[in-house]
Amino acid sequence: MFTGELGIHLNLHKLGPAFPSSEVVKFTQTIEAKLGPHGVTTAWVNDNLGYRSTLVILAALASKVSMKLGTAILITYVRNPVELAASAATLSELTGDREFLLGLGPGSRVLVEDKVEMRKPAKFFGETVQILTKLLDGESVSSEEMPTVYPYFNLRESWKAKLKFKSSGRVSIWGSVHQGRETLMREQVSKLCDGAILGRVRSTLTYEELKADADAMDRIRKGAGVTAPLRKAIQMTTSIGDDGAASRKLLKGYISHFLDRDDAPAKFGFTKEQMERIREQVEAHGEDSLSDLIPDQMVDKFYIAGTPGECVDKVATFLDKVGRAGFGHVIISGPLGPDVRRAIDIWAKDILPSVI
Amino acid sequence: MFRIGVIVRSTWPIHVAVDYAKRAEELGYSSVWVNSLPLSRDPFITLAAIAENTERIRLGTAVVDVRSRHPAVLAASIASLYELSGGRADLGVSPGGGGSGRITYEKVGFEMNDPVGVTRESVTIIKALLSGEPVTFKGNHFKLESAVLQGRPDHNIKVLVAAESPKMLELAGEVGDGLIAPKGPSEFTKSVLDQFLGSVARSGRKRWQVDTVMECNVAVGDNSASAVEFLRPFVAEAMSHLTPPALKTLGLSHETLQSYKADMSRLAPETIKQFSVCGTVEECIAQLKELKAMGLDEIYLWYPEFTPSGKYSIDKVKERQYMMERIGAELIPKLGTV
Repeated sequence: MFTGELGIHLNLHKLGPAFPSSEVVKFTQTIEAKLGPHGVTTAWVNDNLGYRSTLVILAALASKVSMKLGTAILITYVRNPVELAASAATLSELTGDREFLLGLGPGSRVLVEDKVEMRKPAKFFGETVQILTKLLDGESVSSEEMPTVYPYFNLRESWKAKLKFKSSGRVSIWGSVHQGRETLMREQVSKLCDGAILGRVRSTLTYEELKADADAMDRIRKGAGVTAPLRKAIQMTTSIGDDGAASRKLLKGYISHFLDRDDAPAKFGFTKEQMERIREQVEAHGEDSLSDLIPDQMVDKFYIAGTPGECVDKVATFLDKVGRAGFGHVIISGPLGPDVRRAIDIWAKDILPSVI
Repeated sequence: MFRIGVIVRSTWPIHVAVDYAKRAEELGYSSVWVNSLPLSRDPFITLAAIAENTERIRLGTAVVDVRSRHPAVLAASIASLYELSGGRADLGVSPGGGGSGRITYEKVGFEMNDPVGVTRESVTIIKALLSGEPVTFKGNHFKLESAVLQGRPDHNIKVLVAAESPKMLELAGEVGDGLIAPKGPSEFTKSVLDQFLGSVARSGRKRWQVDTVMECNVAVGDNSASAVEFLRPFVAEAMSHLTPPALKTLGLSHETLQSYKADMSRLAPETIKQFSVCGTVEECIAQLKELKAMGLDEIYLWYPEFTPSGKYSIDKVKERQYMMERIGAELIPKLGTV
């Protein structure tokens, strides 16, 4: 039985035009009312280049819900870290006693690369986290501490600054890590952050695979001499609805997120030709256009999707193995379902009472 | 009707800002504006919190600089705030670093060059993104390739440009939907409004399509002298923020302003009156009529901060709130006569 924390991911651009900012707030209030009693304590809001402002939405949520709030994730390339520190401190004033979980990352290449220059992702991320940590602790930072970051934002050299106010709220910094990859990002997150958010997680991963990820991060942290344990969150990507095929269809685009892996064909059962066709399709028509290229069975290898009856045991199994592997926080992620409001009802009535 | 708003400061704790804005709404003020400085609170977060706790009052930034946030971020932020507030949000922008504020910007590494150019590019991009069309832009300061602001509300978001120098006033009238400027002596105020409105006309737009807003120290007193004395420290501080072009227009030197700040008693009552709206209610109404006749739509109670470090003091907020209450009780009910 999973005894950790549960959160829910509000994917602003997937919610789409039917959810203007005020509707996102109302929807989150509904989530709190329906899923809060079943242990969902945190709302994580995603960043989205060209959609609604994550920070504005979070500020509104801070006034309207009592859940903990977080970002999963904010893209580091879009905001000068000095400004981001001021924004995080402002938000934490609003959230008060509730911890504000600031999740950061360079963003998915598939989604971000054509919009911003992704310069030295791990180094950029590391500098950003160090700057944020110091500023939020009330310390000064200087341009010399951010040799990769300050030229990116066209700032000049030789300056030193600290925030003009200190929030009494609590901010923890989380970094995004891709499952199963020994990357420089994993090193930076393990060494520098309060927590790691493991993404690109297939629901069919074994306990051993998940444990290997958790242990690897702990080893890096210990090796760096950091004594505070690394908190670990993991994404559970789902699409649940009364129509199983429609639920699976929504997740076909998500599979494209795995395509930048060189080992993808061998690891996930694609042929090279399939990979090439999928890449071309995403480039030409976006990730939501993949329904004809990816069979339903492939979705089941990656994610939890289908009707409530098809999903309840998969959720229970997933929670059990990630909990044992050392992940203390599970984020219910993905499109949630063809009808997101119905999906919340399903989680409240059919899924969570059976698994928690 | 002529409008009066208030400003809340990015140096104030957010719950203080929200309470102040809620009270302004109760008192009948038209708008609440939030200022912005590097290393201080995020104005969009403050405004979102205010939006969730108010129902009627208009919300705006006065002003947010165009250097520290990419225009795409500014466009998404104001569009989200507009949606959240039920259509109550406007965006006030500036190149940042007017007067003594320049030091704050330089402290965090900003190059303060080309204020007109960076503002032109930013406002052009913001307005294009808010139109919902794909935007490709290659400028000296910003670049975008086929960017689209999705989920666009049906909006009429106004982008107001802070200006007081001739070049910025020309730009504000050309690309902005409104002007934010400091109030000065009558000749200065008239000149600023004339330059802006002239530029609006040259850009082919009508007067009703733009807003004119001025930051202004306002005090209502039992008599003219008590109102002047209330404002003395605020005006001394406000004058120290005047930019070189404004000083030139006004025929004042930086040294003179510093001497006022060092010894406020040197500031003549007439000078305080020139840089404010103050006096009895009847005197204030007369001054507002004069401003309206010049082409001004709105003032907001400014009352500058005193400490360059931006140190917050609840006593200073209470001092401002005392006058906000008094103006709300005595002047705002009579705005219909302006």
